[in-house]
Amino acid sequence: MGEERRDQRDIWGCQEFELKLAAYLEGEASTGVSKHAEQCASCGSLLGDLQMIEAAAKDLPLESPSPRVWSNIRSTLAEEGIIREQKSFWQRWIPSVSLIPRSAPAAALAFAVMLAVIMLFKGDIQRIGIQKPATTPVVATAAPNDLSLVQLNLVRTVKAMEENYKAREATLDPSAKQVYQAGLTSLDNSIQECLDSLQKQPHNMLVREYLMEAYAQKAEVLASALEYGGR
Amino acid sequence: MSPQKPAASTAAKETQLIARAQRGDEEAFAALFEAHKRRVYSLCLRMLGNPTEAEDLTQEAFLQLFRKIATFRGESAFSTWLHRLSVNVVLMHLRKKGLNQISLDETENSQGEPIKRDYGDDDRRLVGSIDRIGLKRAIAELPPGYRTVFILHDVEGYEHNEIAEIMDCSIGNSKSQLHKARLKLREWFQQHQGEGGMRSPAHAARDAKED
Repeated sequence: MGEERRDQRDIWGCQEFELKLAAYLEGEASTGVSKHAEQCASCGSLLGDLQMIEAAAKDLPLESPSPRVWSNIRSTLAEEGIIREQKSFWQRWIPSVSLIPRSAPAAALAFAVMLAVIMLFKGDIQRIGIQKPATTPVVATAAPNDLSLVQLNLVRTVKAMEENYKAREATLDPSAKQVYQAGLTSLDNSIQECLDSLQKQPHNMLVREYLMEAYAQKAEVLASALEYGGR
Repeated sequence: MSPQKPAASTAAKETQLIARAQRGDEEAFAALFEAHKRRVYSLCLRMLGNPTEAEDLTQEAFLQLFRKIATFRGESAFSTWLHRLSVNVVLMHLRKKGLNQISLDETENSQGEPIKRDYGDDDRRLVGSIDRIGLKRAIAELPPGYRTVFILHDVEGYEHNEIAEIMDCSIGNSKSQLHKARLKLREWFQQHQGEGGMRSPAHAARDAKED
């Protein structure tokens, strides 16, 4: 009888503890809660676990979006005329090269270096000549039809820029034009390889990521070509 | 060196960047994006649980911010402004999806069964410490209303009065949802003990040493 009464009192203590627990965790002082947690293993566990969850939540690491998010923001801001002071040609190239992720096609890096050489030794290269790339970039097959809004925007932007570039390519300096075409052809080849792989493995996320990187870099090359052509 | 100096210099640098962005300077937009992208994207990712949607909404939040940047007068911190705007973008998106995930008054009655606890030996303490990957999984599986309040309060550091304002609910409601969210998370970890959600005490001690 006495034991039954003690059990009831203990359970009442647990219920009281639970009622006050939320406020206690919010920082409200309650000696009753901490005292009960020390005496009752079950409630002590509950309090300890909730404090551990709270602490772990504060420690969650931050994650980064892919580079195409900035690519899309930048092109939208430019289209809407919000960007009015654009970076110079080199300012735009140098940070973007340093931001190229590990998985980016090596061709784009090689292209950036080649372009720098061309710009420095334009006259000499014109005299010596470089291997002529395909005059028309490889036309990539259609992009997958399940792309996100961000990805679709990027693909559309690249298409629009490419049309713009084609309309202006005749006005480009011949040596610069050759380099741009070499870079674009190389990126188109990368895009084509990714599209071919995606046809075989539509759910391969790595290939998908690689594809979007190639599109993002193509957008950079086209933007640089258009800026160069506009001078 | 005074600890305030780096913070003051960062704030001054940001003020300069904002002024340049207000003039339409591309580099300033890029630098502001670079400085805040991780916090905005992480918030979107945690609230939505889907990387593609999170990227779309990160883009949307920054675009909204940059379109309005000319109106920024510095009454509040830039990061506070951006963060609040990002939360609104996500909540608006959830509303549009028709999931009604943001009405806490409704979620009071729609988040499933009330969380009951056994008093006694069955209610054992979690073994080890909580693994970040496990916690991310557990958060993603929370009912939407609980998840939102938990992320805003415990992860992002909002106060209950701010959450009440954002979510258009009472402070008491926000507190109650948070407590239930924590209880749900504990329940999740109890059910997934031994599946990789928890780190052993030895692992936790080793990680703490490495940190």
